[in-house]
Amino acid sequence: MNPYKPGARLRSAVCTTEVIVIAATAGDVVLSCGGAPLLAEEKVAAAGVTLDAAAAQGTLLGKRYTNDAGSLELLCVKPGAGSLAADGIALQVKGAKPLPSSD
Amino acid sequence: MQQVSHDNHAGTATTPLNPLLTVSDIVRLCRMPWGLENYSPLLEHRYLLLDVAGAADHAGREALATVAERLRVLPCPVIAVGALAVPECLRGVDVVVATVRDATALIRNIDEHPLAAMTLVQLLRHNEDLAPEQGLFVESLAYASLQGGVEFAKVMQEARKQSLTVPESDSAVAVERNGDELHITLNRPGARNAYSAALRDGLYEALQLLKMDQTLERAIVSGAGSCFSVGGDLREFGAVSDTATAHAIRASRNVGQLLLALGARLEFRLHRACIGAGIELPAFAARVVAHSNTFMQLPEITLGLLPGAGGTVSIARRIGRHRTAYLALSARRISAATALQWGLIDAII
Repeated sequence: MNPYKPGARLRSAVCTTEVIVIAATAGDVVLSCGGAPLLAEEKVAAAGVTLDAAAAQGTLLGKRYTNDAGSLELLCVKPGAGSLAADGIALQVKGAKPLPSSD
Repeated sequence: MQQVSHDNHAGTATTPLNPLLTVSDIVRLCRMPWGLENYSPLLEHRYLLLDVAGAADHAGREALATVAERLRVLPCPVIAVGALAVPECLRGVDVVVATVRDATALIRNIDEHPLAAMTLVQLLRHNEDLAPEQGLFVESLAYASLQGGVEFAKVMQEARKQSLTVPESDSAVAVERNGDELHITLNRPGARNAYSAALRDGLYEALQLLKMDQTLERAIVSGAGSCFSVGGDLREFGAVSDTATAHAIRASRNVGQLLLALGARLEFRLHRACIGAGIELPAFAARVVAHSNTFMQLPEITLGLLPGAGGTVSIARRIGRHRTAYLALSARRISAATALQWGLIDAII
């Protein structure tokens, strides 16, 4: 069962990152930040989890993150040191398609 | 019909002024189907000057209402001169000045770019009765029309001789979060925060964040460097392939619509130059504050264009159609003090 609902807020267990779920149709998947599973807002992080240096590229405020299939999309509403991943595979920044000047 | 002595306004000293019509004149001319036929960007008179002082003495309310309806579809600006004596006239005029001399800056611009002037006042008349969302749509169409016009083409031909490059910062818009407050900074100080496609897209993205995250109480928008923003990036002017595509681009990345929807949670903090989009965009916000060194200007008519970043909606909502037309036809700067007095901004800091 998919535990991630569009509109849900999730936060990192190991850094200041917070995201809002935009889309999550990937089925069974574990979303993580900084190497540790993302937590629902009310959940408390387990003691002793620390930022994994291999997943510490950081998150950027206001950027959308997605997987290759496009089945997952998260909006970063608070930035942090960890990087976002789904089942250990890093999510990528999804930019709006560039449009030229209208002048 | 009284003849007016010519003020020698700069640039077009030889262009005679149109006659200053009295209310009696206009009532008479409106009774004839051909009475105003030469008032057009393409014909003899590119604007109509109307002496409105003491209007009530000359005509009944019914006659004035008929005049107003006629003037409202006149294809050129109607400039009222003098203190408006009756509100019936107001609906028919586009801009009000105290004396003929005060009209010269407007007349110079109208004479040079009559198509832009006509389209501007038609748009402002039209938008007065529309919901703001609809107004933005029509503004984009009107702007597209002028983008394809001969006046803008001439300006572009002259501008192409010069090309400049500016140092670019990494990101055209910087976004920071401080608790429940979002700080959005226009970040092209090397280009005096000219409103480029990159800046537009950065602002659009930042506003989408504000829209999505309801825990953000408000966003504060300011400009990095020497001024808030000098408006549309002239280096990108004339870059779009055709005017239909230009309209489609505006409809697809419509910052104005987002600002309109989010206005209640927005505060703009202005300093020094706020030109074109640099004041059109802030005017959407519920709160606009400015440093005392701020000035505002709508110079688009000098390019054969009109304010196309939402200003015919946002600025008109704050200061009314007549003062918006005054700003856009005169292309004059106004000070923060005047802007505060008119309600274009809410406070000086």
